[in-house]
Amino acid sequence: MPPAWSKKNLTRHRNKHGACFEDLLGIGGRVITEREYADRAQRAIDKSWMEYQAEKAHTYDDEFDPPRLTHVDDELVIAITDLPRAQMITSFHEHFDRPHGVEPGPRATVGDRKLRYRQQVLWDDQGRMIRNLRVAKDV
Amino acid sequence: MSEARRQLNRMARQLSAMSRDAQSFEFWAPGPAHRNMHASNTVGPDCEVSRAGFAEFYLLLWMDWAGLLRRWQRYFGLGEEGTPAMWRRLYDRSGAVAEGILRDAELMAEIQDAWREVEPPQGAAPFETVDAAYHALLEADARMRLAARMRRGPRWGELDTLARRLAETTSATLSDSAAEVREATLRHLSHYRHATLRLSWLESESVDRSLEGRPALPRSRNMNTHWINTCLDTSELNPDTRGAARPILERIAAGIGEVGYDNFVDDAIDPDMVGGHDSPFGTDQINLIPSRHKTGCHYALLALSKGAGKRDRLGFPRIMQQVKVHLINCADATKLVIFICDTWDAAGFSSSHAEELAAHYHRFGVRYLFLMVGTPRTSIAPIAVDLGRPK
Repeated sequence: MPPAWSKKNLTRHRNKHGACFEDLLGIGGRVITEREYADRAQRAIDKSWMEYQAEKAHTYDDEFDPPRLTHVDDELVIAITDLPRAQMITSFHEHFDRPHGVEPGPRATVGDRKLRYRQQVLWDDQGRMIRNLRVAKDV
Repeated sequence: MSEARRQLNRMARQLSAMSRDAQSFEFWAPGPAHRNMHASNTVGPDCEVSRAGFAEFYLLLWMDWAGLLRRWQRYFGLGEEGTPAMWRRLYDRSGAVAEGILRDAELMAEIQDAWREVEPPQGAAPFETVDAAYHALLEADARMRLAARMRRGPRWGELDTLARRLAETTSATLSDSAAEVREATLRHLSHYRHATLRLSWLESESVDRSLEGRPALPRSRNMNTHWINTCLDTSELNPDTRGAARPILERIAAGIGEVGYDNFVDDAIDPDMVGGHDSPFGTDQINLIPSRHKTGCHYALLALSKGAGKRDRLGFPRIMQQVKVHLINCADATKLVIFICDTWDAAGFSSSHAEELAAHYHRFGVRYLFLMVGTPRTSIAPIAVDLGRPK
């Protein structure tokens, strides 16, 4: 049974992250539907090359979110679920704090993207941006 | 397991996989520039990676792992004999690969070309999120360190300039960001420094010395150490022992200031911790409580406690009890006790411990420095304790 979105969560995250997905899916001239967004998120789980469990640090205090599963596919679409994979938490396209399409650049291979993402997970673990990291799958 | 060892394990697995791919014919064979290659151990089968991208990440991972290994050996006082054989072999193997990459002029040129395409994140706008700030600083730092290593090739000067400009821009952007973003970022950088042991006294002599004293990673404010002078002036230590105590206190202050008391204690009591000149204590002539290592009696004793629970391994009562046992066992040797705690029960101390400690003070000339962890837990300050006059 694939993880399910709550209606409110799906709408919110589609509105927030849909633009990148429109580019990845070649959707032009219209807004991505919630169905398309959810399907693309599910594909990130089905085709993931990396899957890890971790707790993400809150921004301004010493607390952490509950442990969650992060799934990463070749295009660096990220899908985050709860541990039982019953609930979808969010899904977005990782482009390293730069505008979509800049980093990794357009010439980057799938391998380049994997290396870049793996580096970020390492830094996040070292800086306690995440804690209790357990990598279940890595290529 | 210490955080540093955990990081060494994690990075060793990745470096080992990359080293297997880096020893392939495909990686070193002459061919067209900017070509892709397969690296099945690194990125999986049927997946291509750019040769320059692979080489750049290899260098960075090798620098990070090899640098951390050297600092880990020094910090914990382990040396070659305390280093797992597998890591020693990986160090030699990966070092040879890295040197080969650095000598390959064509590969260096490809990496440098790729750098010119990368823009700094966000331009000059202040960081809106801690994630963005943290990642940007580490990225800039990585480029500075890589540039310092790649001191070859006709475009090295341009590369170095790019790296420095990125580092300066990123640092300035952090300064312009909201206070809560800055503070949180520095806190995560402190954790990063602890995980990678990029501590002030270790980094200054590490493989990254080529940064010429201009690292890209900002540090939190150093702990105010004026209390060390006050502490020593009122300690009744003679000049010789005061001279010996000062570097210990300065190193402890640096350690707690840079990694926080909790990380400091975790490392101090880790099974790997032997001690030594580069350790968090600055010397190997010191006993530690608690410790799993049985050593002879030294002139100085460092006791670390957390909390007040009677049943807690690090609780004040249990640690204090161990101090008193040590003073009996090492009556002729131990003359200086440095006791650091994060909770102080004045009434409990007076009723349960003061008399015995005073006896060693008067009879054997033992001197005590009681230090209390402050808020945040990166500062310590002396506690005034009067053990009275001889009876």
